[in-house]
Amino acid sequence: MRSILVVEDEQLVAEDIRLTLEGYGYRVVGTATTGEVAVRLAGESRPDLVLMDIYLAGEMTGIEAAEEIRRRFDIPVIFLTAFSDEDIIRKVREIGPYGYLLKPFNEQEMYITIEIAFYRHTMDRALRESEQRYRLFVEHFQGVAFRLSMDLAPVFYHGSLSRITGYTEDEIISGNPSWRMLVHPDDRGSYDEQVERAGTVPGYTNEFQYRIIDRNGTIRWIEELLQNVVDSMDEPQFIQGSLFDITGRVAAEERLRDLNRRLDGLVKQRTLDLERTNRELFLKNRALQIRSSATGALVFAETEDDLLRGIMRNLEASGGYRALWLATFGDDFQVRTVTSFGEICGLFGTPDTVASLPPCIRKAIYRDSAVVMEELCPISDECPGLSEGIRPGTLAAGLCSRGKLLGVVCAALPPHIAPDEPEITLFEEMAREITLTIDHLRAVKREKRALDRISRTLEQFATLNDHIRNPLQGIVGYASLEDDERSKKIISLSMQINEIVNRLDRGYLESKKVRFYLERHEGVTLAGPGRETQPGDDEPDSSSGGREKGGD
Amino acid sequence: METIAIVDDDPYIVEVFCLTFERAGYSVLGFTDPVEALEAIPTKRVSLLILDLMMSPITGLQFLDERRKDRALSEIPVLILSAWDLSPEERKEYADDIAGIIRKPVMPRTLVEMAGVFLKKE
Repeated sequence: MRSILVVEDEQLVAEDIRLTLEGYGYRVVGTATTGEVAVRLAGESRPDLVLMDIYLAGEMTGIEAAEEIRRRFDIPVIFLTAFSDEDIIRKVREIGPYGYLLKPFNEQEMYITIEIAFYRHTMDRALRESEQRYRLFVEHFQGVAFRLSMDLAPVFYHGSLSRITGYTEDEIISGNPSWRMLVHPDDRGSYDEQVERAGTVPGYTNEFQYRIIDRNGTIRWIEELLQNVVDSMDEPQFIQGSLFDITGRVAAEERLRDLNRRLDGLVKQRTLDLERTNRELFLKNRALQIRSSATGALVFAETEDDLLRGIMRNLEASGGYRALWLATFGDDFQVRTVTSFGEICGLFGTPDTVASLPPCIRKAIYRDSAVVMEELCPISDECPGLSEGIRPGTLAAGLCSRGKLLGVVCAALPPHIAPDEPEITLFEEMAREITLTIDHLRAVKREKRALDRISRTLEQFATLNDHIRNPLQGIVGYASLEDDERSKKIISLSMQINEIVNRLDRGYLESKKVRFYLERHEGVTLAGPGRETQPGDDEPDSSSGGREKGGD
Repeated sequence: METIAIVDDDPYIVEVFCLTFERAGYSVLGFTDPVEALEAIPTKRVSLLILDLMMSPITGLQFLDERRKDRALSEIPVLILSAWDLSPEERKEYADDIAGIIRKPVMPRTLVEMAGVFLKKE
């Protein structure tokens, strides 16, 4: 039920109005007789409408009270007056009343005036709210809404135009500067293309981005929505669109991209670091394996084949080479091939000339450092299944010891090992280790042969000494049969010879000590001749008893 | 009269010691072939055997191996007279078979004295 405040200083009239209003179904919240009371009551009871007599008792006129009420409470006021005074009506018009009733008025008239006032007030309020909303929207709109006529002439630019560009709507519409002039020269081509299409293609819609230069010369990023608006006949009517300043977003995106790039870089760097560390560990591990296998070979290997197999086993365990070829020069030329499967294949006959050597061996002969070859060593053809899963390249290095070339070692690489610098260094280290082992094996062999020869010579020498003692015994025996001076001289001379032979014998026994030491501590077994007739294994000190007896 | 047997493949040595021991008043049997000696000695009454080591067709040690098989022979004491000494292993192995070891060359007088010592022992 709508409520009405009646302001009338004549009690009788006020009562009449109240009854009439209630007759129409309105609720009368009260009646006031002065402007001051009216304002207070309006504030307290907030009626939907105020019926106000212009002439009131008290200081305040009805017009003043009405103004106050409208301003403070937004309540529509209908004036009641007995006079149609031009001055008063003008004043009333100025404050924009929702109607006025000339006394005396009939009930019908009052009702219609009140209803119209209600309607108007509702409409006014809706409009006001709408306006307010629009104003608020435009005020807070971060973008610009614009319209162009079909000849591309600007109609309006509403919104944050000046906030974005630094130019007013008037400046832009008057082409001073035009929007197009703000567009960054580098982007103007694509901008023109878009506008051209919006101007010619019915219903064309597109969203695109470009840069403008604002009043301060700052570059700003704009996102534009451009539309060709058509009527029901599909006829283009105008062009409209919106502009948004996306500089912040672009900058944020740029920062994000930058951050991503930095992160990417960090991840890549970290990956590289890890790979490098991995590589270093891998190489170190393999170097360790090579060294320990070479040490093992020095201790256990008896033949050069053993050495190769020993090293291969460890290399396979450490993810190393797929095959090794070891060519050894010397008394017999041999190429031994060991694959990571542990099999020995690809034996190569003694070549007639250096030129007929396999290229991987031949090339390494002429070089101080390891050689990387693009092609696989042809010896690999002899090894079934080897050419699968290996690089086509081969590493080769000469085995040099004290300026003498002992042989060549070649390696077939698996795909995950590239013949780069650290790999070559590792391979050279392996070549050095193999050289050491071969050198050692050969030195032992040479030493053994030399000792053997010395031993045989000494044995022969000892046998000769023995052979001398028999005739000496005969001479001493015969001379002893006579007891004359000459016989004594013969005996004396014979004993001198015996002493010389003894001295030679002692030399032999000393060398026997050496041999005994070698046999016991170095594992060198020396063959001695005539074991069944000669006590060759004699301990050096044990025969002294017998000799002393003979020396008498 | 005591009989001494000398086994050496050198005929000069056999001859000179035969003469030496005969002069010293012994009966001497000389052999240049050890195989022949193995057959002959058991049939004689021999008190001492002087044995060389480096001989053919059998060595002195092989002679000792054969000696063990013959009861009569194994009772005769053996003096080794050799240019070579025995190894400790051989000395140990033949300790029961050998009465003494003398290195060549030895003064005949010394040999006769040593033989005398062994014969008195027996």
